[in-house]
Amino acid sequence: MFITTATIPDLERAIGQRRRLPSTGAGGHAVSLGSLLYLGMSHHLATSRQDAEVTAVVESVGHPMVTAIGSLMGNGHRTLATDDFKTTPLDVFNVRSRDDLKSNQWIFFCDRFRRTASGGKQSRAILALASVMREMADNVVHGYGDGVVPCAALVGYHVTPSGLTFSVVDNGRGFRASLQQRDLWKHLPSENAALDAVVSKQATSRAGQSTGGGFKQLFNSLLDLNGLLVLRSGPSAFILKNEHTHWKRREVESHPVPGAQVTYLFRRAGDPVEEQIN
Amino acid sequence: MIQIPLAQLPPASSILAGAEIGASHATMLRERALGTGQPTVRLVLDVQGVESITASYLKQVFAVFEPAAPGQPEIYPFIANIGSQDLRFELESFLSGVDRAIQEVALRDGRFEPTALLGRLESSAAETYRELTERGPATAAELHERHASMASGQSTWNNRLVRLFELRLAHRQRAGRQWIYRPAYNLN
Repeated sequence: MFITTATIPDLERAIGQRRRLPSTGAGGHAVSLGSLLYLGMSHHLATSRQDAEVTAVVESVGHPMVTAIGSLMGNGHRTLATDDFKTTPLDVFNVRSRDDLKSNQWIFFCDRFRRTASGGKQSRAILALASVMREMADNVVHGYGDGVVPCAALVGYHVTPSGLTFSVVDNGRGFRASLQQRDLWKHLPSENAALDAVVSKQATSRAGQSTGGGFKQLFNSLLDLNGLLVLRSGPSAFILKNEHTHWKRREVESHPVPGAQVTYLFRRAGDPVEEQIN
Repeated sequence: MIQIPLAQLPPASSILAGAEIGASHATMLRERALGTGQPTVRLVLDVQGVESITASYLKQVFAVFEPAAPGQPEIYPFIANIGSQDLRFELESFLSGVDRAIQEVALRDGRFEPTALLGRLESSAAETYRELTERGPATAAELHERHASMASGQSTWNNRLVRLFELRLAHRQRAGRQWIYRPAYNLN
């Protein structure tokens, strides 16, 4: 089975029912970056609260990277990479506080992404993608308190010859509760409405700002690229496909998933689809 | 005048993105301005080495130039060393979106000279700014007198000058019952 971002709600249901996945032997089930981050986060949370049953369900996926990311979140390391300056096709940054996004390790991580994706060449598109990835990470941690207040978020990238993916996931309150900190967005009745406000009105939870810069940046600067954006919050997901002059939107309602996730896929040619992580 | 190379502020990066880093840099800019001990400070945002700059970052940085609280210095912003058309476009887009402008300057031997005005200034404010840059310091009464044939009253000129002051494009100094306005780059 190939576990993609789209199958995360099914996994969440399996976790809720304590139902392990069937074994596939060595290597386990295939995973994409989006699902890998979700699974890594779930693994970390389950082991933190010593929930052996949930840990076993997550580990039944069988992919070695799942436990690697769960361990990354449990130990003091920030990234999977062990060399700050060496490019790597897959890396994950463990965000434990808002201050982490002001650290040199974060800048090194973003730079590794950019250098890996561009192959060391100048590329305006990759520069835009690198900026947007940073904006998305910024948005996710904004919901947490100032300074060193702990948070649990992951930022990951996966670069292949045919394209790249980056994803940001957290175990926070989701878009709706975050926006509802402001009177302007108190009326939002659902996660779906919250995602709509973010996408259509650039809603932001930041005090004193009428619109959020991060998603505006994303929608404007990535409009020319062959990409797909998946926004998930609670039971709602928006899938936005870039059609060169506008973003075509599809809405999905499913089993509720904790936290929020933003995943962007860029492909050099063909339909932007998630790729397996080896 | 203080010159701050934004790409070298920690954590040093050629991409300036995100409100977190923007807020952190804004704090550093305020501290540098406060450290001068001056009530008014000309601060040059040096973007040499910057490849990309986002609106979230800029929103935080430009908050530094809002009217100062008592005891805090008034900070007048300038920008220098815009290295690419893409970066210029990003800056223009942000400034136009928030309806403000910043004076671009060229740095030579520790001094700076005004070049272009970056961003958007509504036509009446732009006209008033031109008056100050081309004909020197002025009060609202002087501008009204100079353009007596125009329909604009003295209070209209005053409002325009106040707007330039709020945008930190013009500095003002009290002289009796009037304010004398001058371009901020002429501030000594």
